[in-house]
Amino acid sequence: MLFNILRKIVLSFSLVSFLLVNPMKSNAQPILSNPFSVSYFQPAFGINMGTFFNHEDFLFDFGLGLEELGYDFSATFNGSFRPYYKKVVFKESDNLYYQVQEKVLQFSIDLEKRFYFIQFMNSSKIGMYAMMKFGYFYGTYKGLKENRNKSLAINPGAGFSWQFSKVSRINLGYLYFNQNPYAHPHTINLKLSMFINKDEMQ
Amino acid sequence: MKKFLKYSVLTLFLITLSTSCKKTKDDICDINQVCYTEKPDELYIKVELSNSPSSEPIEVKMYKGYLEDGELYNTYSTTESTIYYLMPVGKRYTVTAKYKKGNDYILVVDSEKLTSESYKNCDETCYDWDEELVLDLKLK
Repeated sequence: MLFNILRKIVLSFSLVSFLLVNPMKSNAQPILSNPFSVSYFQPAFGINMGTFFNHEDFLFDFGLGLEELGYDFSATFNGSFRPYYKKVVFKESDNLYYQVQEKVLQFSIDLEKRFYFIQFMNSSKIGMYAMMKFGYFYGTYKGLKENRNKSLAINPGAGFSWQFSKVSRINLGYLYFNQNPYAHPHTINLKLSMFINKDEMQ
Repeated sequence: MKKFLKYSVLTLFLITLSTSCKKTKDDICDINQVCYTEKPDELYIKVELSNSPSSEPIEVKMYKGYLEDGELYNTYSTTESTIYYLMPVGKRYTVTAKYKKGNDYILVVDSEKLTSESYKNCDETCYDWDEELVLDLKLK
């Protein structure tokens, strides 16, 4: 179990590291830009993968959907899940507590707006992002047939965004994930996004 | 576009790699490999327990199926740390251990389906299984 978790973490970070190697070979000069300025409408399809975690929990997050490159906005459908079982204890009735092994899942619509304030001539951009997850959350438990802790939730988040090539971007920030009843709600959010950029195709 | 495709293929490959945990033995042909051609009827379930936090023995219950609607198969009180059950294959089993702690009770639950895997070796169907299925009913 622990080996599988470690393997997944190592693979995730290997992927991110690999993708960062080529785009980092930039010799472009940074230019300050207005973070609220927008370009023309450039809708594109994109996928993303990431994780949000803290000292008590770890979830993977995968998504696909609209990447608006002109207005630096995205709207994606995401699925998040804890890839391992975690022992949790909850009160079932007076003087009776259940200790069960839990996995959690969430399906969400993620809206994200980015504000880039540094641009490079090689298409790299650095800025901030603000995002919101509108999701349906639930927990599954070993030995229990019914899912529990089902809830609709809104999770705000914000942080740094780095578009390091014409087709990829990485976000690192904070996500408030409070519907998870047996873990701390403050999480670190790391996300890699890739999208089809028509400029790249020309 | 080429970059996007390259990244997408790489991502899919890594996702597949990271989510495929089971060892598969499909399409092998090794005459030296031990092949059990009979599907096992019963396998062992090992139930691991903590020491009782009180002087009371731990009440262990086994259900065929899930806790809510499963059939109660066995009830057993023990002070031991391990119990074994020999059970038919192909069914889900849920085991609970009830610990008394102060004035409260903690019901620890674990559950798994008892299964064996089959694969083809040359033209033979072989069966493989874990030596025992471990259910963790230790207190957190």
